[in-house]
Amino acid sequence: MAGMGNRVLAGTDRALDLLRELPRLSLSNIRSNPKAFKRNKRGRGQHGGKKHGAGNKGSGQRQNFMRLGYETGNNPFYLRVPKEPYYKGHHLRREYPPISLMQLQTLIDTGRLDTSKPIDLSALCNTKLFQLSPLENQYGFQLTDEGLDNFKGRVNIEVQYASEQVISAIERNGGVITTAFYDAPSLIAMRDPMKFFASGNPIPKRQMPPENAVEYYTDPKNRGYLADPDLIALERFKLAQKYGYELPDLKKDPELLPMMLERKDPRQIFFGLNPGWLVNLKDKKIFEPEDEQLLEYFRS
Amino acid sequence: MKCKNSRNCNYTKKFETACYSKYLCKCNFTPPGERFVKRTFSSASNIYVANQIRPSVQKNKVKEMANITRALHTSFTKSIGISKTMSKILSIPFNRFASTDISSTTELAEQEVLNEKQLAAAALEAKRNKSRLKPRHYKILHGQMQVDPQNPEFPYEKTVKFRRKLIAQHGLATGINLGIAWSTKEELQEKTEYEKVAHPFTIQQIVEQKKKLREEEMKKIETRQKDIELKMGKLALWMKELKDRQEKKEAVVRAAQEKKDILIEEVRQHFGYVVSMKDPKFQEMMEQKEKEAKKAGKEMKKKVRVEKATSKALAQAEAVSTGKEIKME
Repeated sequence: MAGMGNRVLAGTDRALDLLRELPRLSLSNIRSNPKAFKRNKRGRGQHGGKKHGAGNKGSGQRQNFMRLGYETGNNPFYLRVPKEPYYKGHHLRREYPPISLMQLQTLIDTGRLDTSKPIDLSALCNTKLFQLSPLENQYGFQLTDEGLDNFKGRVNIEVQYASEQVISAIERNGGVITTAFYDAPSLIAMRDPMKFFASGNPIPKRQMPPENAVEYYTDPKNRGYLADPDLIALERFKLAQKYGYELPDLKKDPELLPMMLERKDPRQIFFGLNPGWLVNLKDKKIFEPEDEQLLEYFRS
Repeated sequence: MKCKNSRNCNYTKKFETACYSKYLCKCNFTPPGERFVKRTFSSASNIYVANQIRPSVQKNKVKEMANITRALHTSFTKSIGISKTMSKILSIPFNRFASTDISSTTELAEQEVLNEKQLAAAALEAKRNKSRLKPRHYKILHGQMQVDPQNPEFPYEKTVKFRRKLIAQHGLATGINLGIAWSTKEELQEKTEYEKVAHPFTIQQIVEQKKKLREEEMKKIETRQKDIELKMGKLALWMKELKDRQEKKEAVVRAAQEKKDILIEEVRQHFGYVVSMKDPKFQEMMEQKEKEAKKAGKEMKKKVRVEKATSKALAQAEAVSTGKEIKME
């Protein structure tokens, strides 16, 4: 405390005074220890001068260097080994991070997933146990057969890929499984709906699957979302016969029946919300465009 | 250093290095590449179009406001006794003093009383606020609108992306036209064009195409299988033929070898001891023997031919005699 008469300032007082007066620490008022890093000595005068680090005569001083990888005539290393097509088209291949039936059962048992509502990609991502990055070519989740024998959950689940055994496991317990395709912008909206609504964009229109995926999603054997529902029913029956279980009648539980049969439109992303709608969480309102062109676009 | 918008503005100031402080001059310079709100939707009730007001008019307005605020600031701060920064944080609407034309004195008095109360409350709040946060940050923290949509301070506040987020955060209270959330006509056209190019065929068309492809594949496989079956049927026959051909060749070779062996044996017996093949004596004898063998072979052939001819003649004679006999009968 300065100005207390003839009192001599102690070290700590001086330090505290300094702390009060000095500006905030920032990049502009700190520096590294001496010799912590080496300054690139660009050859400009005094000790960077004369030959400027280029030596005497030769290609070095004349700055006439050989190309990188050149081995003075013999076949260079980077040309010796021929190209192999291991990664050809890898950037076009879709990835489906796995979720096992065991994990699914655990989620249901621990109450992280609500079986009284349809389970889709949003529900799985909302558990915050699974990450999905569409920018890394990940197009959704696949249901794997680990824990297949002990799976007892009755769910209406929608994934992006499931094998025959997995389908049978879910249907054996009276559940419903669908495989559906979502394009990258839809996935980004689905994996974090709150963030998406906070961006203020209208709900996008889900695109159709690419050509090499159409066959999969129109096949009733895979319970594709574009397949004929009657054929799917037939396939359910066939599968029950194949794996030797009695196909449970969904109509026995009339309360849950509408939930079990709830499926999305091919252009829909969220249950109960249409493409083109603007959801405002602050005012708790949903807005729709009036422009005809826009309406036509979102309804097509 | 001059303001960036040097064509329309002559404001000079010692600018700092931070990016946006270059635009501290309120002549509304905005860097290129920013998307501005320039859309009207006739269906919406409240239409807000930024940048429709011509720049010069905007500038004058801002200058007016600046002068007024400066004048009032000094008087206000002196009367209340708070610092300039505090008054800024309070963001007291000074323009209310200047803009309205007040008719009666009672109204003026009422307003003054209200304003005084407001100011007192504001002052109290200012004293309570020890966060030392910038006004913008304070508002963000407390969930209030940190910007004034009608009077954007920074260039990014005019962007569509930001304004959409603002609507999402604060709803209709922002006063921004909700139409900015959806795409413009040009953007819509681009979208539809992109979709057409990305998905030229409908699902049904693709399904049919794939069906055809699969059928063709199956056909190819089937034809190949049939072909293979036919050939497998013939396989036994071909194997047999191959074997016969091989045996024939072998037989020829074997016969020649045997002949040679016989001759060699004869020559060896003639000599009485084992002579090497390369000896000239041996070779001379070999030649002789070969000649003899050839002769013998020719004679054999002759004999065979003669025998055949005789047998044929005999047979013919018999036939004729029998025929005659039959005829006679």
